[in-house]
Amino acid sequence: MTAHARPPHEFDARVTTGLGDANLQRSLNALKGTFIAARGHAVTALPEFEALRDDGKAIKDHTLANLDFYLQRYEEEVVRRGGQVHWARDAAEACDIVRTICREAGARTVTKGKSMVSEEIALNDALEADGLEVIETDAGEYILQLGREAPSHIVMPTVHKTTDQIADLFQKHHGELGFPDRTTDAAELIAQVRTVLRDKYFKADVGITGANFLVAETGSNIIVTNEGNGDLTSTLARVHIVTTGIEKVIPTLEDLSVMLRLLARSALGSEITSYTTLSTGPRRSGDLDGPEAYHVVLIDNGRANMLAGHFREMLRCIRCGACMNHCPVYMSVGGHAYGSVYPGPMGAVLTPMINGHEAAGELPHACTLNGRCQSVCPVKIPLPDLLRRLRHQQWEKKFVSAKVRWGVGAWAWLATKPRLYKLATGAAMRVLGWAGRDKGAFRSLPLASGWTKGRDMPAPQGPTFQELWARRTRP
Amino acid sequence: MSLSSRDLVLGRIRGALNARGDADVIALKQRISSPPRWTRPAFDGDDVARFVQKAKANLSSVEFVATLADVGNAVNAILQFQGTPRDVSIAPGLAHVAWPEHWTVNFGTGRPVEHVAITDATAGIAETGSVVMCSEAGRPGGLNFLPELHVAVLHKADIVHHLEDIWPKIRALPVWPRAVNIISAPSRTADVAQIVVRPAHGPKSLHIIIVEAEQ
Repeated sequence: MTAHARPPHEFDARVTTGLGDANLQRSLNALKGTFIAARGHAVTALPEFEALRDDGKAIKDHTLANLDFYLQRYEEEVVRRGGQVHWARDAAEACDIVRTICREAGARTVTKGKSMVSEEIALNDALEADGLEVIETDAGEYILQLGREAPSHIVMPTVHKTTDQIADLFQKHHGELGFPDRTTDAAELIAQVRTVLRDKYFKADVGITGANFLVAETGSNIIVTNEGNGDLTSTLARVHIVTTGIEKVIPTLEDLSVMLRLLARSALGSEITSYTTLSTGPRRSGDLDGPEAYHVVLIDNGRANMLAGHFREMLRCIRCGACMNHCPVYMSVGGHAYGSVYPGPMGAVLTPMINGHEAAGELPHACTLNGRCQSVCPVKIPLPDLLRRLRHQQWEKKFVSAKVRWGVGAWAWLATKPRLYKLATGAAMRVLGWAGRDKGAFRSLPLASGWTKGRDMPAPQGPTFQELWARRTRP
Repeated sequence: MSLSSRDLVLGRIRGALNARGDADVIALKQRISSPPRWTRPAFDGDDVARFVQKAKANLSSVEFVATLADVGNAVNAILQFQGTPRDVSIAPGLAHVAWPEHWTVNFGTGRPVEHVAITDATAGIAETGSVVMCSEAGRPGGLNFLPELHVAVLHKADIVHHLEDIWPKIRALPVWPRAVNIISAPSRTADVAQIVVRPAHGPKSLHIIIVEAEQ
């Protein structure tokens, strides 16, 4: 599960791989008919959706402006109800805290609900290095764990995998567990997951989940799932550990109600998920089930620094994935091309914040600035503005490759000389228009093979924009 | 180590924010005790009818019975129809109800193999067709997730209008529950090639029995 193993500076190569992967292209295309269409319907069906977006933004802005107050209140409530709160400044410390809790609990088996933060801190690697059996329970994450792969989407982690690939994986790993025959039936594959994991829930010493939200008023962590795996994880293990970023806290249950309406619609196009669960502390006296101990690991890992600078708005993110579903770049190259735990527009902003500019590489440039991500974001994060600012920072810090610097420099030189610019572009368009006059497009172009490999370059149809503009404005 | 990291993280956060006076702290505490009223989806009509419509749209099934004592026979009819073993787990808080005598009943926490479990809801939400289950000694939370068929017993008078309307009911409980499960549909996943499969890890079916009688 180490997404960190794939250095982002190989972005170009991974984009080429993604564009050439016919299976991936089919899966991404299918997303448009399922999740994207469903979100559109769900939003249209709720006239209050725009007002809720404003509410959601206001709730997160208020909380972030008072984050220390709400985190402390949250901590007090967790402790008051018998839980423990741990603070981690970075990924390494977060892993150490979880390892220590596991060691002190004498744990051998750990079940895990889906947690993007646990991917961010590479928790599975740390626990497996200690000899623990770590089992992902979300069906998608389980499939990826068998294949030793990273998720390619934050909500639909297996969006890149075909049924055939999953069938092969299961035949290899489930053969000795009583499922010798290969099947490509989705229901049968999921039935295998259900059967294999059922005993693991009961066997688990520690259950780890993430948190979609933390509520300061009650000290609760909230998870939303459709599978029910998170609930079995948190209910049946002896110890429940919640790994979460510090930005997940919101003040009250009233605020939570708004965020839940936004999340399910934005992520899945549903009014509400099958299961929305508030977990608060360990089992109460007299309870017949539930964990004996409840721990929360509050993880900073770059977030507090975002609060101080121009990127505070990114901390409003509720990880719905709508931005990537509506991003032409993500929908063309897939999540793995980003080489980071968080892909798509939100990932292109978060990755440099969490892992540094150098690790983020080209990611802020993987954007056409079309603005669709911002227009679907449930908490109105100005993602294109943030990406533009990151590009600027990368330029200032000289993290931009020599090739790009030279190209942009040459363009800038030309663009400041209007007559020369007009002459050069006019001539270039005429030459291209003449060369492509028969087919109307180029299958390949010198110096642009990287671009034409994935699509045709349309041939210019006549005059340049400047020439057209000049004609329009004359009476 | 943890203590110093706590101070360090809180210090980083405070360094990024404006200083706060006593009056600001009072205002923040007030915001928790009386939070703003945010936008709520408007809908008209009878809450019970809306609840039934929404629950069915989410592929739950819904049935009405007159009193709590009728739940046993209602469930028995389903088991008979489906040919399900009469091995039923029931939330211990419902032990006082008369259950069919030929059932084998587990008044306890859930087991790895659960055909049917019957648990009772604290509330139902008309907005979304959801049942709200609060764990306590008589209501082990695992029973809501382990069975093939989950039967949720809901008193008609406990159906509320909006999601927000469940919070006062839960705050009124003697202790805040370890788990509050808002259950809106049977378990499902689309993690294999975006094909929706039911169930994933939880119940294949959610049957909601609405009890008409006042408690």
